[in-house]
Amino acid sequence: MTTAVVAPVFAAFSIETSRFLQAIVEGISLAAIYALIAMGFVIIYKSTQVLSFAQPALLIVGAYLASYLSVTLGFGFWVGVVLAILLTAVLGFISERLVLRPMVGKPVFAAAIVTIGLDIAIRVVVGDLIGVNVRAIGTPVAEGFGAPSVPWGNEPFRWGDDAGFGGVVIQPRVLVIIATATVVVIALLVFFRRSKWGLAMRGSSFDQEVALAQGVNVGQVFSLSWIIGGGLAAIAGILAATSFTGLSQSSYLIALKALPVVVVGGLDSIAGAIVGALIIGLAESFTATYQAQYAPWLGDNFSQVVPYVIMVIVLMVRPYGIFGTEEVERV
Amino acid sequence: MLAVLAFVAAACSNTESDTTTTAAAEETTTTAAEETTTTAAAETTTTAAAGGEVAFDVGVTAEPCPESGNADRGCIYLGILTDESATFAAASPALVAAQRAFWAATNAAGGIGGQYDVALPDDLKKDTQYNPEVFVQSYNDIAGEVAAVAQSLGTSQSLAALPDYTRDDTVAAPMTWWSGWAFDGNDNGLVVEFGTNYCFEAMNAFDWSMQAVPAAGRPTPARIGILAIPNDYGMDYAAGVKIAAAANNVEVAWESPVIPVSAGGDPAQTEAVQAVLADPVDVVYLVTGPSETAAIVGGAAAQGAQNLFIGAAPSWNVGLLASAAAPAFEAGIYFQSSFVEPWAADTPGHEKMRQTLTAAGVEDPNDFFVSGWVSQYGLKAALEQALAAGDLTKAGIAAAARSLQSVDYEGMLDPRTFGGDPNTEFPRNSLVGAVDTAQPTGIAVVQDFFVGPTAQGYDFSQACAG
Repeated sequence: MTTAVVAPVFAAFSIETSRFLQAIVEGISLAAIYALIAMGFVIIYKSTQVLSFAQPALLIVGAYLASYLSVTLGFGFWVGVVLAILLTAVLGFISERLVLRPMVGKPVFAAAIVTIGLDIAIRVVVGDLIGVNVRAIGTPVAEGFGAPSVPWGNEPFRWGDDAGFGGVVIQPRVLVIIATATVVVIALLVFFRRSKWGLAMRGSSFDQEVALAQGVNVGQVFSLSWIIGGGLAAIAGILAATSFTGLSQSSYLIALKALPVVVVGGLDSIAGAIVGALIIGLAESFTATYQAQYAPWLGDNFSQVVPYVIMVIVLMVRPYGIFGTEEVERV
Repeated sequence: MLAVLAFVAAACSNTESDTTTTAAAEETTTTAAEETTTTAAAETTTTAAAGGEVAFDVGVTAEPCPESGNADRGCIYLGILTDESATFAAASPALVAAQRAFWAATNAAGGIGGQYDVALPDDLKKDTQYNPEVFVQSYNDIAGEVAAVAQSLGTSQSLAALPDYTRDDTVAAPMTWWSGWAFDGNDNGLVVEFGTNYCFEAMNAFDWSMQAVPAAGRPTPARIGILAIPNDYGMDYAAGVKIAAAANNVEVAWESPVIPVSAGGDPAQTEAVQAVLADPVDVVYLVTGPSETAAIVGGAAAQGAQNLFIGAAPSWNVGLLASAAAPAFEAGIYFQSSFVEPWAADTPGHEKMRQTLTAAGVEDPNDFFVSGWVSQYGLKAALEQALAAGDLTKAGIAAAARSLQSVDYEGMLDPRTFGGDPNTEFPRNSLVGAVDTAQPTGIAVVQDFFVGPTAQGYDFSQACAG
């Protein structure tokens, strides 16, 4: 009798638990990608006071180059990915020197608008190159490392089954996304705290004139911020393209979520970008998982609206974001 | 402010300038010296030709097409109203390339009656942004320069332009398979549809599943789910599924909308995946785009879903076989309905299409090319019939389109007649394919053209939806 009552309850509890854990996994995976994109926004903004709306274009350039080099040209995954990140960083550098540098001294609003134009121009070209077919990014295993051939997303393992938590699926790609983002964040933090150029970037972000007086080449700091921003966007694009949907002309849309992330976290805070990404990623994931069940009156696809709802609330309550500096000038 | 700028960036992804090229009908009338006489107050021109006099007005010239090597032929200009920056932006290049290739092949084979080549120039191709208002504006931008429209993409978009099509007697080849196009009351006989519609395609897919699923050792479907984009495409196909479900006493357990990724929908389609997992059914019908298909099939299968999926024709793209969802597709849980055989099919039309497009440099084939190519046969027949009648005016082409008999699709589709009773004349046959990694477009036909009992017995007296 007791078993008859408890078993269904336990089963229901187990299913709900696995749903909850699955939402956390999906949310953190989203957050990892959002954090990489958002850090590019923040680094460029801190260094140049310009909000770069070209990040979506840089993201899709990185993903396309990785696909083209690793799959189309057959360079292999690792060579393709590394070259794609480097080439996108170079594109960031070129963009800064050719398009943004002439805007120095002009209103930051005008410079931000220029980045919108840059974004559109690049995306149109890359969109044509991507074409109609969904593109793959390649697989990292079985290419010289002696690992078994396991494509992205293949053979997901269920770590919840053995532990009695139900079937929570963590695909290899999710682990790679989280691990990559973690490594990149740590590397950037070390770079900013320990390296000469990192210190120079931090110095010029506080006060460019003082930094100049101390011998910092602020122009090179500008370029370096765009190089890092381009590289981060490329990494985010490559990771995003490992999803079920692959790489398509629409892949750039994920970068738009970085806007709520940086507004929530604070435009000039790297820590804020990470925390903001976690808030937005988890909110989106939990809304997608539970909203249709508990708040269907909110309508379909509300999970895609949630980041912007949170952004508006934060703007109303704390306009400079959770970790942002209060006197930040907005465009 | 940030959000505003973000949306500005997204909205400004238009890939073509909004060049205005409006020209009044009388401005396009062109006369060829010595052999041309104007017969109707600067509106209609009559040209002496080998087969007799030919009257023409808007979008037809006695001069050869630009860059044409056929100096002895006139030119018929067709417009393209496509979507280069919204939901079907990814499909547009293939559709347009196939349509241009079709007419290039036609011109190479003698053009229209040996007297006219057909041109689809860039300045008569407009990005409608899949927006009815922009669509109507775009049509009016080119209305004074085109004899017909080679691509009218989108049901609500084309419906929005119908009053203007009617005003101008403009015949259009649709890139939409809405069931309502079969009825002259909806399109004034101006829309030259091709293949069966979403509704019959869905009915046939359903009837096929009732036989094929148990034959494959699974239980006969008793409960189904529907995931559909909430537009004409989704509603028309879903209507066909529901009609067939009712006819087969199968329960439609749930129906849930899918917002396309390109329209801001969730890339992971978590809500749709949750719908599949929360209430398991035997078959889930997908009326989506390829990105949504990958996210739903891949996501649901990875989390343990055991059902089969049947997708409408636009739901598939061969690139999905290289995505993370490939294992799910290769596991044989996905099937595909279609109004036409895929790229590699063995018909004279497919063969000509492959040769022409391959020669034009197409390296990554997909079935959007097939849709673009096969969409033009009806328009070609209308132009040939109008020329044979000596009347290439807009009204002449429209009259021809309303009375086409046995249009030849070179084996890609069965010949069909326009203008009769849709309940007896409209084609109801479609086919079903399964994932096959050996095929160029990833789909192999597992059920050739057929008409299922539901479609066979359906009283087609009005549109299924909309």
